[in-house]
Amino acid sequence: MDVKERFDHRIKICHDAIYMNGAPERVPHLSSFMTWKIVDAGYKFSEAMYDWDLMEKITMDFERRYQFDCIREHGNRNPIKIVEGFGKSKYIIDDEHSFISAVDFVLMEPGEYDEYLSDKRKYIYTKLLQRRFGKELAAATPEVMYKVIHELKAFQDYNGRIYRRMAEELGVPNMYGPAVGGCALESVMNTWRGFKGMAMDLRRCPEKLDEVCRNQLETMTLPMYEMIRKGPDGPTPGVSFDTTGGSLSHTMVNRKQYERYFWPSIKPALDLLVEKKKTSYWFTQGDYRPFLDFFQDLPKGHLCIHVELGDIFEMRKQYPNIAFAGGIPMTMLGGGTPEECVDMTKRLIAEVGGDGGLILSQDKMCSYPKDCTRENLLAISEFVQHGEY
Amino acid sequence: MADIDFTKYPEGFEALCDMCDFIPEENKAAREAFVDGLCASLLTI
Repeated sequence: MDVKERFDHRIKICHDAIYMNGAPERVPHLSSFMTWKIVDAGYKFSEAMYDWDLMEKITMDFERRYQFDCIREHGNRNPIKIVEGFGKSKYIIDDEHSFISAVDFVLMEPGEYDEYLSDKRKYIYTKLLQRRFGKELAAATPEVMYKVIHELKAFQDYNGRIYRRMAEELGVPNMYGPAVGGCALESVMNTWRGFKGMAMDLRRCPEKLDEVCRNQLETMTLPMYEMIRKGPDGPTPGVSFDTTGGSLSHTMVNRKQYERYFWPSIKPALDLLVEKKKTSYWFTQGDYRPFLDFFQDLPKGHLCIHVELGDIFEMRKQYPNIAFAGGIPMTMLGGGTPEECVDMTKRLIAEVGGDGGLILSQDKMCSYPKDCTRENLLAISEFVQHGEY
Repeated sequence: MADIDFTKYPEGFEALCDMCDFIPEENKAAREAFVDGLCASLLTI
């Protein structure tokens, strides 16, 4: 196949997998590899994460080597250069042990939700940014901030370039379009209040969380859904999935809280997918099984959920209407043999993707040296591409 | 460039917008959106 044919074929097999009207010609293979690709290329994390040219080379070579059909991360997950000319990022890079850890910040004090809602831009600038980088901002010169702005521009330029090269040189489509089903609790947990702060707020001021979630729904989410509604029905040209979604903060809520905070944006998203004949790929971190029955009435052909925790074989039996991504355990990728990896691939294709419904991938985001061996990944890639190993 | 107190609002925010010289000056909304994105990036990275 030439590049254009490969591009179109990759979109087709993803569509066939999610539509679940029969198995696609071959199972699509999705990369959930993050910083592992840096060590696979023989570099240290800090070498690549501070050099967009090197990261571009690593990301392109990674695809040439393993030939994924969908790629979640293009070397752009941790753009620490934007921050590090100005202050410290939240990431601590340990090159000696090839490990990255992140610091959890609490930037929003209790009782400040009203202030945020009254003027979001002012609140973010005068409270959140000052608490995170107050000293740096006070000391910053125009020259320093000009550089920071242009580092963000360089990051945006990198994104434009890498997606274009993937499509034009290697026939890999963009994986998805806009995000749907989002919930403001993601910002509450990941950026404003941290894990502990959100846990406290769920008990102490749930009505304030209602307000924040409703505000995001009304000002951002529903208008975006309306834009999609006004567009044409059916597949969006040039992408594997029309939309995307997913969350981490659901791991901290019970079913009642999920229905209260998440469902108001998820339900209209699902209705939209059905109405407009669209698809969506969701990376739902942690265990999403407590909430999957919310989706049991969704017709097949619209939603693919990436399974990080849980038995994907059991989930296939319980939810014949949902396509699943994942299946290859990272423990096997890092500690198993090529034969075991290929046998698992065969089993997944047969039992999870027999009538479509499987996007083969790693169960977790592969980031560190022991998460995978090149030998194992090559074996799976070879089998996916050629049906034999 | 003249000294600017980037801790002040809206002066600091507006100064950052003025530095977005890759966005046409007349497109104020785009410059503001870029700086909103910058603030979000700084908070999440």
